[in-house]
Parts: sequence; structure tokens; C-alpha cells
Amino acid sequence: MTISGLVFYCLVASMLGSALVGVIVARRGPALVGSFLVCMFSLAGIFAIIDAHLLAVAQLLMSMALGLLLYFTNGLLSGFAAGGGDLRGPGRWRWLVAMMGVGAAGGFGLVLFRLSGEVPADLPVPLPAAGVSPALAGSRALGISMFGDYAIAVVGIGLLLLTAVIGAGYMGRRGLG
Amino acid sequence: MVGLQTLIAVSALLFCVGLLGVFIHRNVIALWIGVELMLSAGNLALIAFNRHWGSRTGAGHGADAQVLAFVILAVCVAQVVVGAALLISSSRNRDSLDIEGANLLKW
Repeated sequence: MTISGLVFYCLVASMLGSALVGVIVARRGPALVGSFLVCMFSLAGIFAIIDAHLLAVAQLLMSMALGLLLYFTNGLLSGFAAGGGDLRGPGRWRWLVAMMGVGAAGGFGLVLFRLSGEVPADLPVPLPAAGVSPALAGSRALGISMFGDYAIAVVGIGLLLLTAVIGAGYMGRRGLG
Repeated sequence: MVGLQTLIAVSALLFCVGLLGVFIHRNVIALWIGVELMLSAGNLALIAFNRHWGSRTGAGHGADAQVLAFVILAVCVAQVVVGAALLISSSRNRDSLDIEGANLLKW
């Protein structure tokens, strides 16, 4: 078994295991959403392993945005987040949600912009070089390859990290961290 | 190289776990998560089939299904955002996340 095969099966085990834990065992909201996040991140890894790089980036961003949305919705509704129980009041956590949402939307937008700029109406099918799968060649045609043009993933993840840092700083300043 | 059968089996398992979550939970957020798992399983199957048949026929380049799955992801996020707004509004009126009590639109 190759290294990538081993990583693939580890990711599959992580994805299915966390999904099962989330569905069967987890009873509290944060545990449920945490299991969901682990499952979705593992799925993003699986997409990357099978050369669906574009989708791996999109899945990563979507998981982060969705996980946070579910987490804070759950927090708002069950009231475990500080100040989050009162939906009419100025919830402090909503700043973090808003910033993460903007970051994720920015990442999505970048992917979409890159896609719209790179894909001609009649996308030429590149002849895959020896040892390169057609899927990987297709990803390269879109300008997304593992190392050279992976800047879009770095930018998207960087945006999310930046918003997370800003959000953590905000919460720390307010004594919520 | 991961084969088609493996990917389809993983996708089917993930779909079953999502379906199980939808059946055994009554909490709306848990139901959501189950539906998201099923959607992701569908995406995985889509990518797997595209990867298999695209490479066999020579017509596919591996990006078609990715673009389609990307659109599915965007729609899924929009659906969750609208659903969250509905959920928050509904829970303010009912004070509960139990799906059994949501009978506002019932005749």
C-alpha cells in the first residue's frame, strides 16, 4: 500500500468514525458540531487525495463556515455562549461569526473568480503526461495544481485564520476568551 | 490508486450514517448535520464517477464534476443560512428545537 493509500484509509476511518460518533454518541450541541467538523475536514482531505483539488479547497472553506454557523446557531438557541441566549440583545459572538463568514465568503469568491477567469467556453483537454492522472491534468488546466498554483488555498485559509485571530482578539479584549 | 468501488462504498457508508442521523434525531441541528452528510456523500460519488468514466472515455478532464459539486456546495451553504434564520425565528416562537413540535404549516 502506498503512502497516499494509507492516508486515504486513515481519512476514511476518521470521517466515518467521527460521523458515527456525532450521529450516535454525541448528545450535546458542541460535541455534535465538532464531530461534524472533523468529518467534513476528513472529506476535504479525501477530495485532495483523489485529485479533486478545487473541491477540496471549497469543501474546506464550506466546512469552516458551516461548522461555525451551526455551532453559533446552536449556541444562540441553547444559550451556552456568553450573551448568546438573548437573541434580541447585541450578542458578542456575532462579531466572530460575521468575520468568519466574511472570510469564508472571500475564499469562495476567490475560488469562483479564479474559476471564471481560467475556464474558457471550450475548455481544452490537456494531454496528460506520463504518470499524471487526467483528473490532475484537468485541475492544472484550471490553474490549480498541488504546489505551483495552490496560492488560492493559502489565501483562502489565510483569510480564515486572520478572521479567527481578529475574532479571538476581540473576544479576549471583551474578557470572553 | 483508490478504485471506484472503494470510493462508492465510502460514499454509501457516509450516506447511510447521514440517513441514520436523520432517522434517530429530533433536534433540528442534528437533522441538518445528517442532511449535510448525505449531500457530501453525493458529492463524493459524483467525483468518483467522473474520475472513473472521465479517465476511461478520455472525454472527461476531471473538472466538470468539480465545478458541479462546487455549485452544489454553494447551494448547500445558502440553504443552511436560510434554514438557520428560519430555525432561530421558529425557536423564538416555540422555545424548542424539537422537530416534532413544528406544526405551524400543518392543516
